[in-house]
Amino acid sequence: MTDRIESMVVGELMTQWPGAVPVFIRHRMACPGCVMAPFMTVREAAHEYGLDPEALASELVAAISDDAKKTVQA
Amino acid sequence: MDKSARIAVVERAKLFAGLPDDTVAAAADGAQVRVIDKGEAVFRQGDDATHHFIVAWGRLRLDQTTPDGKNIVLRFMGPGDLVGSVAVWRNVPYPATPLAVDETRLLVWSEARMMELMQAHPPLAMKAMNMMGGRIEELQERLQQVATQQVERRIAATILKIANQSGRKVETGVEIPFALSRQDLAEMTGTTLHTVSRTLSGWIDEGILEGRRSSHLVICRPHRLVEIAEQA
Repeated sequence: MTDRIESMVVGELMTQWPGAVPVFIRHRMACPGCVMAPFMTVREAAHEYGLDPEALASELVAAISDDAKKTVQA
Repeated sequence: MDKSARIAVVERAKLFAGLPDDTVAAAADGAQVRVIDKGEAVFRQGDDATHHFIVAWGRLRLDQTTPDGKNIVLRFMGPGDLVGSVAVWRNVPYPATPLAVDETRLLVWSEARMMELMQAHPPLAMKAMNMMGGRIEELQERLQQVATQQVERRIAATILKIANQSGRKVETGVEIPFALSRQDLAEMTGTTLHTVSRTLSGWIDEGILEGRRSSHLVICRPHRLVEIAEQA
């Protein structure tokens, strides 16, 4: 699950699940509104900020709704 | 603060460093001491400039309110730094407000007292000129930096906008999938071909971009390019 989130593109993630946006803001990441968000994966973004990609992905999973989790698992 | 403490402060101030002992002693003798509590101002922007200050200990933040009401931090000042003198010498109001970040102790000379010191000790006047020259040099460097930075920002922002619209993800980054010449970028950003070439070469060397003259540009470090585009 976190693996799939890690390889997702940040822009797409935020469009599909707005619940993810506060997680980026909390980490003071500039992803929300960034012109490069449609190209960078969660893993790449985590790397830029020196964050553990897996931990970030877990936080994102927790933040997005149950519906979203089902979509990713499907 | 006794005389030896005042001498110690005067000695390490840039304005007096390396001057003869009698000059330092005369300056220390003629100084008054002022203590500014944390959060208080030494003087206010727009006040008549009547005194020269040297920070003995503590720290000041030099704030300036711009004509449109924005507050900007010009610089931080610490022990040995000279405060207020440019305005006194130019005979204009203080251009900024120094606020004490911590409790700060200052040595103070009135305009007349400093003038007497300079007349009695001409090397002090030479030193003051030298310091003013240093400030000008600093400002010229800063101006050059700001001008360069603005051009870099525009070029970065333009490349990012194009990539956002038409870019595609490739293995090494985000590619702009058509030939975008240096000349195109120069025209889009209102700068010269030379500047665009120099800037792109720098970014290619840093690994931010990839792309020879004839091939498509690839943004290898998108995050870094965004930082450049948004730098203050």
